[in-house]
Amino acid sequence: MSEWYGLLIYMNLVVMFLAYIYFYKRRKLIGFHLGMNIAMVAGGSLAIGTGVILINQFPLHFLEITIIATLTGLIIGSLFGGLFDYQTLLTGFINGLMMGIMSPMIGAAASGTTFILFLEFCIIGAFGLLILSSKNSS
Amino acid sequence: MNTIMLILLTNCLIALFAYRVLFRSRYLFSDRFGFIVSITGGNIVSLVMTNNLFYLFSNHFTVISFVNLLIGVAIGVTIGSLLNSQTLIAGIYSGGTGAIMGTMIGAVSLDPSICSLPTQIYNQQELVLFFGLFGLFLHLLTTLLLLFALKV
Repeated sequence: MSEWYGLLIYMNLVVMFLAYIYFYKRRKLIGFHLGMNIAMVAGGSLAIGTGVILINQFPLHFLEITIIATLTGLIIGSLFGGLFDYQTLLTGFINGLMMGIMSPMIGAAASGTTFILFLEFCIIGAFGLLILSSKNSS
Repeated sequence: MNTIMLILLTNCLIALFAYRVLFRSRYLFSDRFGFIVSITGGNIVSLVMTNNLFYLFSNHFTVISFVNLLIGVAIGVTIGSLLNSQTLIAGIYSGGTGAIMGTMIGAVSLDPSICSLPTQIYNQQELVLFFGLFGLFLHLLTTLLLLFALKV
């Protein structure tokens, strides 16, 4: 199973891109409270997924994976937060930074196929809940 | 360890400068912006400073992990008390979280076999220097973004 881990990162990025297009179309309808939650959940969950999968795939490159996971969380959190407001961007930025700097340590401590599949289930479920709540609230 | 001392001093100067600029314009804050300032400032400042403090006093593990938590909560109270009591609670929470996470990063980078990482690849000095300089870079970036929010 361990040679298919790269495919999961690709799946995460595709789901992120589709959700970004969906939120971009209806960004005028979403208030700032839901926007703050969207930025925090998107940045944090994608940073955790990227860090855990990459440290299981390449366990000898700790420093590079820390840099990649932190930059992923930071950029995606500011991307989702930048849809709405500057203060939402700050929230997504700091949450993605903290989760990304923590995620390679989680992945090195708790490795295995079951843990990664559970994490993927949680990430896709979080994105589904975000789309559902934005459909209900507006 | 002289380099870590220098990095810690630079972090303190950056945090004091940002706090001075924020303290001057604290009457302009809305309720939401005060919340976001206390979350962002408490997290990043306590993360970076407790990480460097753990490197400096790494021989006394239990004492420094307790003192780090107190320092993180004190930083959160200081930043969060700019506006009202809601931002005070958010500051306490985010300062404590950042302090615990900074202690964890310091412990893992001093002894990578805690997280079952291989120990022979990096020497200890390289990891310590990397996390110190990376934290300094992240602190500078976050402070610039936070102070730019006053102009927008």
